[in-house]
Amino acid sequence: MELCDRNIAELRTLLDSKELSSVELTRYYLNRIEKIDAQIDSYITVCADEAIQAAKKADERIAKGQAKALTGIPISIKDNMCIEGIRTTCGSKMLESFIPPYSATVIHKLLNEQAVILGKTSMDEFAMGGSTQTSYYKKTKNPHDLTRVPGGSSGGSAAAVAARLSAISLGSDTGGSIRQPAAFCGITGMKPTYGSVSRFGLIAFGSSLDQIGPMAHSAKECATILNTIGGYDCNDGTSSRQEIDFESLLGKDIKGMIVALPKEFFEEGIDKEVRESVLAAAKKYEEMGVCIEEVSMPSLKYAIAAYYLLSSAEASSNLSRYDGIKFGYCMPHAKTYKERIERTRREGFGDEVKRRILLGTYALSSGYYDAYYKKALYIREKIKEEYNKIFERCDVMLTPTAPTVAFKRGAIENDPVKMYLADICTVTVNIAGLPGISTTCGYDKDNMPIGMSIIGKAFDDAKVIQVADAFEKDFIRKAPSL
Amino acid sequence: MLDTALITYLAELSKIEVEEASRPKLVAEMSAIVELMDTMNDLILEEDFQKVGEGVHLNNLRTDVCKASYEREKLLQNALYKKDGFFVVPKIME
Repeated sequence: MELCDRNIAELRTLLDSKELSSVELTRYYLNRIEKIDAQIDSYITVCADEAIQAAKKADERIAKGQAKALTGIPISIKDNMCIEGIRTTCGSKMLESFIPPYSATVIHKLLNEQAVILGKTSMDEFAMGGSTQTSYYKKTKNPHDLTRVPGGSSGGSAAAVAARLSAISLGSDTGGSIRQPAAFCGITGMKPTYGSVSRFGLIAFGSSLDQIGPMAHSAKECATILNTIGGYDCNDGTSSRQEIDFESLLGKDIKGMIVALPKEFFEEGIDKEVRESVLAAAKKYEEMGVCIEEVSMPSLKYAIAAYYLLSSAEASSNLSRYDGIKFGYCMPHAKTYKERIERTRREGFGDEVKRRILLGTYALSSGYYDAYYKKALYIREKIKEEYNKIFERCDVMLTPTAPTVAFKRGAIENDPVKMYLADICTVTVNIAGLPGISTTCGYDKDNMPIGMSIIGKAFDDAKVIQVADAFEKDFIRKAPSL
Repeated sequence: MLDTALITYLAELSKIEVEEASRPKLVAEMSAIVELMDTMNDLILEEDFQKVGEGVHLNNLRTDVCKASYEREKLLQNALYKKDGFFVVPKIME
């Protein structure tokens, strides 16, 4: 078995028994990146020297018998999480030469365990997109079919894990940006409960929706990563003090659970093969002793509008910091302050980012606020109420992760409306702040992965992982042939 | 339906320069997006609509303690124009 086909628990055993050093493992992954990533374009920045140095420190710690779960394990990081001294671009020209003066809390937590950061992965500019084709740097390809997108916005992380260019990765999810690329690339990705992982040092997009989460080969690996990066952080005002042991229910029987199937997620617009594959997974759960119950979420039809209004309104405010003065791209030949800001933002932002800022400004502006922003907040409350009602009776909910499998590059990513509609299966989880995990449940006729999502009530992350893990135990995944 | 005047106004509020030539394309794109947002128009608002946003949601605020901040030079390292420990900006008053 190739090293890259081993899970992190197996790598942990090899490292702790000294059959393998972290330096050897890191060099192995760096070689793979050098050989393979030219086809995939998953990394914006590879930190080879820093990774080898970190691996040496990890080996010292392992030698002392003080290894933690991720000590010496190679990980990639989406390029919207700050690492002190390492360029962080957020996929934008605006941050082409930005070197953060501090690290995100999740990075501190990884480095405290001596995990080895291989590099920063590509993403849609400012995490706005579902294809990783709006990146200013690398337009990532899907390892299962290089003519298709890897999904997004964490497409670089998903592709890197699927192509075995890092053992695991961190992504971020504002409206499905971990789960959808995980589905498209045939891996597991989880958006934990809002507030369970610190957002300090994550470049802000929609602050009430953004959440950092793991991307890996299994729900079990996601749980291990979350137990490292999760927990209260005084630097994040929305960080929760409620502790979660993400691994606590792994391996426990799911017999007797009630799984909700919301009928609106299986109607028109969902590809037939996707629908059939998720329904077949529901059948498998039934065979495991789970009761499937059809439920309804009437507000789903308003979810896309509410999500895009809320996230764009927050983005228009968050992205006002890019003024060409303090950091980031600066249009140098400005005569006035106004000219400096307006031209910097014209040249530094891509088209999709500009559209979202304009939409957010529109929703918040005088005369439109009640009709758009306030109504979106109202829908947010309705969606939360509908979820609460479902979880009064049901343990988790099962849906497709995306209406289709990964689409061809160039097919729809230049049509904003079609791209927005493709987020229908994922946005409600962010709107309600819930935990959701995507795992592969089948393959279509072209051998492209199909993802299903398991959603739970807030802070039921361990249960969501437990249900995904139960399915994964008997499911055989297909690795991309590269 | 959005028009060029509204796009120009929004661009000004957003502090993004939009060239004259690219405005018609932007009007078309933004109109299609706003049309999608207008799917909310058939939503029947219940009595509780007026209460939306009234509730105060307190975050987990941390204790207010003095601690060292980041070094000024480190924070200035990403600015293109700086002098004597400050950011330098073009003239604001014309």
